[in-house]
Amino acid sequence: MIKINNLHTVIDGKKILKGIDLVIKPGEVHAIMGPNGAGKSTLSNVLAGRDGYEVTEGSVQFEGADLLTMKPEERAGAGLFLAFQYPVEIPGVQMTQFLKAAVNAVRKQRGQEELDALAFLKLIKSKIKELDINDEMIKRAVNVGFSGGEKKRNEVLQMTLLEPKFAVLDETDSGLDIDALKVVAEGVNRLRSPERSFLVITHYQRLLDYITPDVVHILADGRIIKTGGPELALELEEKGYAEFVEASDNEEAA
Amino acid sequence: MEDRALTWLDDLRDGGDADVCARGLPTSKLERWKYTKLPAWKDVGANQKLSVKITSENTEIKEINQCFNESFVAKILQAYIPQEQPDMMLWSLNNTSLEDGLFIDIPAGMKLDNPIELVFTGEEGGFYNSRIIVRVGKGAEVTLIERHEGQGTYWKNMVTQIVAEEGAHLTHIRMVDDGAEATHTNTAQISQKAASVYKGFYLTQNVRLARNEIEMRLEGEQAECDLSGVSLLQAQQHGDTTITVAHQVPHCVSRQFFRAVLDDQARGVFQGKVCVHKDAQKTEAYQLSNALLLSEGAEMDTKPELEIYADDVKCSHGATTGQLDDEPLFYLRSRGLNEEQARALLVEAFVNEVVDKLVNDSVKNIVREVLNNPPSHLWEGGQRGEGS
Repeated sequence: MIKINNLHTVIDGKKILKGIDLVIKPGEVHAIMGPNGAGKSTLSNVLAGRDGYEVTEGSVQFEGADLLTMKPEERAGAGLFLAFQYPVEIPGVQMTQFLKAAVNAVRKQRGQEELDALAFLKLIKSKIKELDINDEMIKRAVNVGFSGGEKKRNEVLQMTLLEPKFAVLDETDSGLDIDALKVVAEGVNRLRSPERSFLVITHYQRLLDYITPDVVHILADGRIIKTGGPELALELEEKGYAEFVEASDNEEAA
Repeated sequence: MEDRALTWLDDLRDGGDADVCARGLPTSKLERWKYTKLPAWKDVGANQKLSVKITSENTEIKEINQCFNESFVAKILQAYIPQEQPDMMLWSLNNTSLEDGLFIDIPAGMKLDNPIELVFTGEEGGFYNSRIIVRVGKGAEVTLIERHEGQGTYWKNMVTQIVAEEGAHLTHIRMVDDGAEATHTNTAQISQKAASVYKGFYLTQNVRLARNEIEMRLEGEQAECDLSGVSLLQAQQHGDTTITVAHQVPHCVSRQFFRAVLDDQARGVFQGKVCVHKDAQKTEAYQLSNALLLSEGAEMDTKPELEIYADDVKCSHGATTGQLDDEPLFYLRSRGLNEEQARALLVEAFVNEVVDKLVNDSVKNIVREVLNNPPSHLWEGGQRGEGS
């Protein structure tokens, strides 16, 4: 699905990612955990194509195509989705207008017929029910006046509607209470399938209680320092990041 | 028919003539004209009748030259002496040939369900000095929709005088959509008696140069005025909104909310002055102007002014000028919208925030039909992307 090879990035002259290697196969859920400043959000932003991140070395193949040369909208069309850590408020743009524009933009890119107003309404009605989102929320402007939980639920709603092949969840658990976390996790779990992959980026192990990953990576100082199964997340929770980071530094020194 | 024997009318016209001869047209030397330069006009004086199509039910709208004998009209025409003001030459110009225009008189208590619609059409080479007088009687309620269109190079120099009597409600939609070569100037004076409500929405688009000068006079307590507007300008278009709100008595509320979207070398001007007189305690006055610049060559000049002589008031003003934010652009693009679609959606949203505040849905729809939003050229190619 996605193959990240020796990825290095620089922001404002500062090296952030220092050689990331990561392969995610169809149907797999990978988690990346790491302390603040490790480069977690940089990785998600580089994958989604945000401006201002300079890739100095390495490559990213998405289903065989060179992801890094694609525009953000082309990545969305090709099936990449980023659930934002801080979803953006857009006053004056109604949720339904935004969601319909997004759904039809990716459908068009994928050679599918665009949905008319009625078909779209039917689609959205069924999806918001699944995610426990009330009608009133989709009549408001995009993310304006939404609570933290509503914003994250809105990200999952968009992910559900856009049917990506590969979704990156950037700290989707931050700012969520346990009920909201469950709703979000259920939304993600519902989308799990043999054809769809996920990269769950998180600081805490908590989210992984609800979304069980196949593989867990620990990211520190721009590198993946350890990879393991779901048990790695539990170990990390127990011992804290410091121990792993130190161990990795010692290995390097040796 | 017009009574030629009306000496006050002759005096008014002669006074206008004399003033225009003596002072000419406003220039940038005048404080209120610092940012707006009128195009040179070779034929000032050769005046035509401005064509108007009227749609109204249950209200007779009269030509103004049929009303010179009505005391209200005679009084209001004489009430203002532009030659005594430092910069009211356009009003004097309108006085010189006072003949053309309309008198809309809504009787007390009349509530009109359907809006009155006026469509004014200019023609190539036209020079128009038209006067609109509106009286909304006590407790009457009406929506007036004024639409300006036309073809070619012409100048409409309008003067609008409105009186909202006690408890009257007037919704006034004024849309300037005259054409890329046209000049449109409007000088409006709006008087509000006690507990009256004036909601004005001013659209400026597709015009070479437009100046909307509005003077609000809050003369009766509990009066409320909402002024809002949108300018959508491109090429070398120029749109000037100049407002004075005079809070003359206590307990009135005024709100101003104007937005401009400027592309290419377009230039927008917003001058908003709020004047709270000494006795006008408990005044609430708010003013907000936001401009969105879509290109490096576009320019916005904003001049808010507060003159407050009372001590128990709530007043605020704010002004911003900026470009589209990167964050929402990236958010939309990450959801599959291409750059042009994303930009167009954000510009549309910026404008919708003003239009959405219009209370009545049917009025909103009428505005949306005329509104060139998002500006169509945003969707075209060029440096903004390859299009789709």
